[in-house]
Amino acid sequence: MWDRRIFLDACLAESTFYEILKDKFLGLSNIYLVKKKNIVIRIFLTTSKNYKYSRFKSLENSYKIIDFIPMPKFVWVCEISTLELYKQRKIIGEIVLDATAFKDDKLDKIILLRYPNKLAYRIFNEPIEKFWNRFTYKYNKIENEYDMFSKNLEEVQDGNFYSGKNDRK
Amino acid sequence: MEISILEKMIENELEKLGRIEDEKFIKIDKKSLLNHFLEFEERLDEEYQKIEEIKLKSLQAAMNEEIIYKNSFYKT
Repeated sequence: MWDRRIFLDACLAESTFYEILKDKFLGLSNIYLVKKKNIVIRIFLTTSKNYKYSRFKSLENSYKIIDFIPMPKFVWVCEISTLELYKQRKIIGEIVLDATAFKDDKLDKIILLRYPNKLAYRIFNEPIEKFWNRFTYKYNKIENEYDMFSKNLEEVQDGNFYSGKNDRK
Repeated sequence: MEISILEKMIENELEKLGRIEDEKFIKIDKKSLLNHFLEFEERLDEEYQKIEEIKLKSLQAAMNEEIIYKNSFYKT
């Protein structure tokens, strides 16, 4: 199964995201926009638990899919938005990479690729061909805009100080 | 959970979202698509090598700076 440590550093993750976005099949060519210059991307590292929870709150139709996809403890996420939507804290797509993967895993580290009307995923240890096959479909009822990931760390509320009572032992 | 069961669950959910074949890929032969992705992986590998070289150079530069700093410290 997955390692619990992060092997994929920020430089390699960033370069993987850029290469995917530049690719003629996998990249931004899947987004039909008048002004491609206005694309905004945001890259961050988070735990899959936080990521799934955030998508659970923001997605209406496809949250179950995100929940079903097995993910390692840490994931690199690249959110794709437009300048206008970014101001409204909305995104139109995303790429999720396994942060516990080695650089030699190449494209096997892709977990999820999502664009408007498009969603392709890869389950751990599955042949990469399955991912390519899934990428050749599109979906009419999938959300094309949704809330961006926020609150990686929850703010302390008044009187809600850490007690350690609910920590897992 | 077994991968096949999990895959079925995800595929069931995806079918509810109105799955259709992407017209962009209908005309493309699956074999040439696979070749494209293999080339893509090679490109990615080259990018990684470049990054590793940059990392190594900056590490060497940092080490050299440290040596210069240490030498100047001992002289004073």
